[in-house]
Amino acid sequence: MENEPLTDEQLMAAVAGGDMSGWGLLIRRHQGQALALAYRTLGNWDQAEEVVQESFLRVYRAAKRYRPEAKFTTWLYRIVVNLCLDEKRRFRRRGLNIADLPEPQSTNPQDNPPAVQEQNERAQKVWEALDRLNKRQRMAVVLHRFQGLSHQQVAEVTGWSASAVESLLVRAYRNLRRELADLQENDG
Amino acid sequence: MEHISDINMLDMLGGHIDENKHRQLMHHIDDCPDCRRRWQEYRRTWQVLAEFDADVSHVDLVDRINSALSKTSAPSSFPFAGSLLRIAASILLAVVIGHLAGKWSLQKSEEYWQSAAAQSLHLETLLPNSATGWAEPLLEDDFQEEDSQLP
Repeated sequence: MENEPLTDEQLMAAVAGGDMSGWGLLIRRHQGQALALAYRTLGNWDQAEEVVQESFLRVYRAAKRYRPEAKFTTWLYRIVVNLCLDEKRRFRRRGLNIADLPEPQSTNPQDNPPAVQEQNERAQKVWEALDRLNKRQRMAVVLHRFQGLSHQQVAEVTGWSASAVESLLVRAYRNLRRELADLQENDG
Repeated sequence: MEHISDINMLDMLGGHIDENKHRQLMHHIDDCPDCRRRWQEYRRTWQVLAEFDADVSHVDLVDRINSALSKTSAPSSFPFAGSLLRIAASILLAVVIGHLAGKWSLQKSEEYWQSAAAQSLHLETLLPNSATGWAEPLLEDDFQEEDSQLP
């Protein structure tokens, strides 16, 4: 029992009290999911890393106000989601689309054999289909499909009602089914 | 059993339905062609979405975040303290300025009424012939006196 890892809530309490020894652990524990969420929302690694960095800075600054009634990841994802939406708005105001800047690609340096190339093309198609969804549908799908949240948890993170999330998810998956028809193998 | 709702199917795919309920729903899917068709459609879409990989296994942002952190302030238990302090200072400044301005205005006013010109103006307004001056009070006896003078 003594060697049980500290919970997120305990780590946050330590950070709030000025003990930074668990701060790195807290970041390492959640940076991957936060970065994947930001990347799948923005479609750009650089922007996604900026958003995650800013998210953790906000977590740090607000550590004393964090109340463990809310799950840490719900709180963190909410910060990431809000920053992503802000980032998209900021780009749109400048007449830009973040998705136009990069192409989705693995950050793992590796050669591009045909199999990998085909995989990248399929990923590109999925990316484009996601990008064609409206921003709320897309956010709901990213949280539900990729972050592993239930529709109730998506509602908690986004602050939208559960019924709104239901409707967004059903419409989003329907749109994706149509858009990705050629990639879907018939499994009977 | 009624058809399975779309959102239940989606939460089943995400593993958010408990085991018992999941088993019940799968039985229904086996028996209901309509639900089976919808279930297969959702499952295919779900699987295809997995193609959008985001490999973050090698990413470590700790140093980057800590570097940014060294340029920021310590956690605050009251985030609006700075703003409140500014507002309080503004109110205090406004009160002090108001007080000084009021004092100055009173002083000027006293000086004005103490000046000779102002005094004469002041007295003029009190003259009986003045439209704005005092009227001498008429007593009952005055009327009697007037009556007695009538022819």
